[in-house]
Amino acid sequence: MKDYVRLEILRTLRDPFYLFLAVVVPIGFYLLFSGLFGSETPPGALSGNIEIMVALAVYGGIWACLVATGPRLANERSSGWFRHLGLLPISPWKILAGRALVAMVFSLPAMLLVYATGIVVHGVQLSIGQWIGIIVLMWVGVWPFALLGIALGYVTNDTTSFGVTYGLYMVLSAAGGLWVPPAILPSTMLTIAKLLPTYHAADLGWRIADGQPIEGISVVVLVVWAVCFLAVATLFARRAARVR
Amino acid sequence: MKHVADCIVRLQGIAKTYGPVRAVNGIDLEIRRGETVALLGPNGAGKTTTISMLLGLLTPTAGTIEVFGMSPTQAIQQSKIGAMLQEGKLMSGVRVGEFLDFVRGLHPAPLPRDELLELAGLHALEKRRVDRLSGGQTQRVRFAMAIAGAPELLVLDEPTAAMDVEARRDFWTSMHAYAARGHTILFATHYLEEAETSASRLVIIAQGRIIADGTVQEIQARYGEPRVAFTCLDETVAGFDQLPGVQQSQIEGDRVTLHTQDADATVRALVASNIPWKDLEVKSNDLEETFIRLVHNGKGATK
Repeated sequence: MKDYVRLEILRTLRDPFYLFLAVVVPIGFYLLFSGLFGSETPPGALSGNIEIMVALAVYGGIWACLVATGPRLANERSSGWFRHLGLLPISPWKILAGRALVAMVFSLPAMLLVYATGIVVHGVQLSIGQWIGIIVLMWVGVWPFALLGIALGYVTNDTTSFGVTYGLYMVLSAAGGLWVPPAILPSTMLTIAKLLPTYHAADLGWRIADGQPIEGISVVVLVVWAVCFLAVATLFARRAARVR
Repeated sequence: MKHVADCIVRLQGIAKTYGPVRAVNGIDLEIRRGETVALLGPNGAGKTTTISMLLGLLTPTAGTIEVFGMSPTQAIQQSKIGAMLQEGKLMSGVRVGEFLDFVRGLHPAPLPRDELLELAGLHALEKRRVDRLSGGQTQRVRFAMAIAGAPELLVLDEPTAAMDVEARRDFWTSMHAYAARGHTILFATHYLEEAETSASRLVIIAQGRIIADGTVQEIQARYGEPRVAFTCLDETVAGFDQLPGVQQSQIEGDRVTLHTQDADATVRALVASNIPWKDLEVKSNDLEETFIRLVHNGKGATK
């Protein structure tokens, strides 16, 4: 599986369009949003530059996870490559695990670049401990989306995959408070946001940056979603594998 | 039939139906070690469906499949089968060399790299991207993928469909080189010529059934409609139908044509008889005529 992961990383790097979206878009949004709202620091709240940095790091990390899985998987299922994989002595589960791993790997640099932008452009300052906490925990926090991507790779087909994946990504990001600070969301929206993995992945970072302990509920919500995504992915992958 | 242990592929009563359509309609087939078998038939005869079931990519509606005494999927997981499909893209975004290294890495005892590139004629293409090759070049990569694990059984579905004449010739050279190592090969084709020159055994299928099975000679002897013709010098002679092997006789003036099941026996009897004959001629349909007739009649009855 090591070879497979290595090869997948290689071919993803050779197809820079999706990576561009995963890396450049969050940075662009960060610069835009922080330029607009970054200097606002409501009393007792996190500085806008940091809050937006955390939100957009999650935003970028999620897209890296989704794009490395969903549309590619859907494409390979219809292109015939998956059929060919069925002729090789490698279990389909290993293939899927490999894809999830690749997605996780790609989400890290996408997030790191947003942090780097925060440091370079806005002089964001946090303690070493806070940085380590943010980098590691938020990275782990977006992993469930690699599983969502695999599920989407099976639920969608080659034509619909990119649109559906991108649409769902937008909805989850917006509803999860990645675009608008959760503090200014109406209460119903906030209630919904607090059920979503997008919100909780970012909340890990917000709390660490603010010097607060992370909430157990964040871990619970993220794990529950991860399990759900895994279940859907498994269900559809099994159905696809059950030959006609 | 040889010893049972030599039989490495066994299809029993295989059928595949899609709603009311019977793509494969009861196929029994045994392939012995070392054979090169051509699965020959017109488009839509059920060749690809049969091969897909043999590879575990499709589940038969009825019947059982055993490859090396196990299920097709198990045989693939154990690197016993290598296969080349007719359609479908390979992994995009990687170079030929990288792709084949990956495939080799999956097998416990792969062909050595150089040998593989040599056999598939890919030395010059090693650095090229898999998704930027011509049809014929792609087929060579597929062939390399199929033999990378040095499988005992190689299954090829219309391997030369996308190739021009030269590529086709090169391909068969590669295939023969692989077969010469004592491996067993099953390939589907609708090119009679390929089947005739490359296979040791022809399995002709039409409408989802096997209608003939044997060497070219056996099929010709059985279905080639051999005929013995001569000029009879005595118009009063009759009873040609009584000669051994003769199924039907035809008389036009003094020229007699006997349709026979066994031309040798008929001729021997004719020579031994006291029928006054001259201008003896033994002929039969060529393989192409035989094939077309078999396919059109849709019968020929196996065994």
